[in-house]
Amino acid sequence: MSENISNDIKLPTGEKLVLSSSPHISANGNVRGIMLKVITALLPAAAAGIWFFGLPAAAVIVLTVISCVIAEAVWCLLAGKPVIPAITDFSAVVTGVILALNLPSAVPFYIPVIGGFIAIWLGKQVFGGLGHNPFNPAIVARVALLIALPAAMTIWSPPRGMDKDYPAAELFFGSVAMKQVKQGKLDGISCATPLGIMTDTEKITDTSDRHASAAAKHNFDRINTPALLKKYFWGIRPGCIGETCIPALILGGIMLIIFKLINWRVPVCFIGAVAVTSGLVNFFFPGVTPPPLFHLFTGGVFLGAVFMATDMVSSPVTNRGCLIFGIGCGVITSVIRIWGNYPEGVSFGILIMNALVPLIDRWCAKRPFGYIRRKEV
Amino acid sequence: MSRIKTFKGGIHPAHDGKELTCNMPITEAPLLEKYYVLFSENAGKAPRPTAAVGDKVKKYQLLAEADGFVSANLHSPTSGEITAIVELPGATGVPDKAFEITADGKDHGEVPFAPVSDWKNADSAVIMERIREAGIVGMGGAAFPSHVKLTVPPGKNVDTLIINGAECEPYLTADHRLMVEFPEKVLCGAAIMAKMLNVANVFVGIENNKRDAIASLESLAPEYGIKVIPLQVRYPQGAEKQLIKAITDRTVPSGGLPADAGCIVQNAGSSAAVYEAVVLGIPLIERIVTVTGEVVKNPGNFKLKIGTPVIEAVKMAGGITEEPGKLILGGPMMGFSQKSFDVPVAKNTSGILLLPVDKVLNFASSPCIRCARCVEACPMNLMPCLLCADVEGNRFDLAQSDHVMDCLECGACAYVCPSHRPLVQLLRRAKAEVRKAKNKGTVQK
Amino acid sequence: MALGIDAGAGKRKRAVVRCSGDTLQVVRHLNYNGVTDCAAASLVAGGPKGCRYGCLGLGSCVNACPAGAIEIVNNLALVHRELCIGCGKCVAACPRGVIALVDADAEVHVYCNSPAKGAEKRKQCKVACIGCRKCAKYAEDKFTVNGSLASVNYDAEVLPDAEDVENIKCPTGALLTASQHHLIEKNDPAWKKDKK
Repeated sequence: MSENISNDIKLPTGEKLVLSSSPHISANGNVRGIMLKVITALLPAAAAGIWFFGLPAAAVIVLTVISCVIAEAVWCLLAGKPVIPAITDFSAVVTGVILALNLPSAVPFYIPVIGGFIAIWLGKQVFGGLGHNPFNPAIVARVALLIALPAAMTIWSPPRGMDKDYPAAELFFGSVAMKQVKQGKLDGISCATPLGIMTDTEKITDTSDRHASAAAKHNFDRINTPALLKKYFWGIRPGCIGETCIPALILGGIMLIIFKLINWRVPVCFIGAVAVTSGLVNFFFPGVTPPPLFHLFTGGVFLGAVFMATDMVSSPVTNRGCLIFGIGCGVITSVIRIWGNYPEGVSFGILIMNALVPLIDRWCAKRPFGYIRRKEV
Repeated sequence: MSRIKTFKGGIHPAHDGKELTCNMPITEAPLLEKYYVLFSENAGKAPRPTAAVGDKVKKYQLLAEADGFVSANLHSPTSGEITAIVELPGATGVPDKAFEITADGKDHGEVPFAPVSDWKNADSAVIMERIREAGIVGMGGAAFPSHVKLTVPPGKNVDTLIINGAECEPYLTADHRLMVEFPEKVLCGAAIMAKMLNVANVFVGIENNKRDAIASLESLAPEYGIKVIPLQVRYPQGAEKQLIKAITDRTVPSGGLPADAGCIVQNAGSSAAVYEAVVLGIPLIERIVTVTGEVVKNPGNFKLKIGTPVIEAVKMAGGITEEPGKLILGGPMMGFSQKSFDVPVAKNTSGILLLPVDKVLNFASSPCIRCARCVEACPMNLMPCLLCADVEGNRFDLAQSDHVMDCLECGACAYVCPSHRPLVQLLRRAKAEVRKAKNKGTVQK
Repeated sequence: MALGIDAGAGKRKRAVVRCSGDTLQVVRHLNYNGVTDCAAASLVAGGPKGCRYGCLGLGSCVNACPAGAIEIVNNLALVHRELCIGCGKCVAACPRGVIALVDADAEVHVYCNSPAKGAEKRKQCKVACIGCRKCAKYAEDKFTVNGSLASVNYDAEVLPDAEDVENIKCPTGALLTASQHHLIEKNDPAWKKDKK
């Protein structure tokens, strides 16, 4: 039935036909494209981190990414899975960059290496690989490192712009290091983060020593001034590589939303819930916790809300689910910060809500079009 | 100016391929040597053959009679002799029989039905009987016998007739050209059906990218009391439930019929066929088919008789420039890929699409990354990623309770999936298992 | 005997895939792209094989087998008899009913599952059973022929053996001993003619 009858008309023979189910066309785009876009959105925060914390930050980022990629390759080799597809979809690179942004710049070299392996092996591959992990791999690694090697994970370097002229500098550097800072020697100096000082203050104010309490409270008020809040916002504060510069994170968040890579409800509700919870507690019990702006501009709320809670695999698929997820993360973060023992609650908040995602998906399942409540037959 | 109507969900294919044929006027097909008229060209039961091998048949002659209520008559597309009854697959691949009619070249026939020129005053039962006799089916693809669709179930109140001119599938322009070149057929057919159903509201839903068709219909529509409703360009706007929602803002209940929302929907091509059956007295034996695709030399819209072998249709379109990677009957989103070029055109074949190898979607067994694009795209508010996870775990009971039976199989989810997962195939599998279990009386785990 | 109930004796069973239509024997096997599951593939135009009753070779049975006894060779499922435990899970998993659970001692099988007419079958597959009845004429009690499809009568007193296969000389090669059929694994086109 398919012969050429003339030179002009070429008829098909059907030799190249492929049989498959509909649909037969698709939108352009693949997993690698999504990962590359996420990396692009991470660039402002990474650049800000390198600007503020210098070459050590760049080294940490590079080392973490390499470690993650190697961890992925080694696992695939050992598990007999194809290595090239697993590496070229860039999901390990994204995990590496996000994990690096969660580390202090002064960490010893073994932290990024161990962290990369924990993130990929324990955070993703044991669950079945890409798409199967219930927890955000970067957070799994960060929490594991924090609990196992707390000393190494809490060495904070002063960023660019933080020197002897910094307001309340002696509170951040401590009296011993302050001497060296006054001489202009900033190498190898470590300092405290605002949240760290807040937690120490709470520990002191909890005691019955009223003089010490008052002194601690007075000191704390010095790090909660509008001038300092402005510096916190722009990133001139100690912290993890990627969490300090909030405009860079906001820019990254806007890029993610424009590229349609995340559900905007997660970051908005996360940040909103932190603000509302800390705001309410601060309003009714002002001595218990500082005002919301302090909570938002210190620590890793923006980093967690924009890049970590929004990880596709470990967040809900419905809009309502994302709303609840964001609010839950924010509330837990605030609760841990206000009443818990850890200065920072973002990682734990996200981890706990990750565990609840399958339940949230079930509870917030969408009603199909034309759904009517029918009694079970 | 009011907002253009639409529905929630759906996708907007960036390249819709319609520019290949949307300006090509309908071309009459040359008379061929042989036609292969499939027995089963309608949903429901296949008609019982009344003609046999060796019979000499005239054009429009009855070949097979409807078997029961949900069945449609089959008529000969040309004059000639039935030389054989052969085994040929239908569009879905189900093996079927077909009349092999060797044409005598004269294409002679007698109009079998008396034209009802005064349909405005005719009895509804007469019009309904004519539609049934003419073997008209849903020409958008579902091929549901039209007389069944137009019968209002007892207890239901229908006040709206909607003509589906949306043609949301990429590449297809058959209904588009029909509405541009023969608007009076579509509108008159709609008016006839409205008279028969005794409904006050008649709408033609048509997507906004067919400006010439909208203009062509709007110039005549007021005469018939029909309103032309332009709709936002979105797939699957032409799906019944979405069309009804967009035009009337009524929701068809899950598992229900359009009549439950007081509406009846008919394809524009079926509407034109109703006009021809009632006013001209001719049964359904030909339709407009878009032969298109980037590998087709001269893509166009052809008026093909049923039974035209697909290879002949491709010849009419000038043949190919390179071997196609897929042969699809229908549109690229819901059409059926074919195993060979030996299939014939049927009453519901809206398009013959030859896709080049590089445009064909390659399904991969990549994992789901829970990006939720499918959830956003689903016009029925389902969650395809979770449903397919149920299917892959063989949990068809969970799939059923997650409303997989509401799935339209429109393909919007698989279109947007960045992992290129075969979502529609998995959903079809679940639906097949649920149907099988319903017949057995249990839902299996 | 336990609890006063006689358990009775059961015959040991093994699974056999009654099809030889791998990519070398079928006339045309299309490129199929989609879910790697036989039931799902059957939904797409009846599957990528011309024959609607033959083995699709996508591995639903392999996934179902708890003993790892089934292997896919050239798009055809092969049961390794020595590994098969006769549980029947593969039979349930196969959407086409190609696999049958038969007497474990059976050496000879008719490797065809299609009830279609002989001429139609030959168009699709070189080794289909065309229903010529040569086997039934040779030994009526050992073989049953239903229309165009012959099958071994596994309930017979005496099962057919290699000598019977040699004497019958099945014209298409649908009737084979299990060891002959396993030569398919070696991709040897002469497997049909090999006597051992």
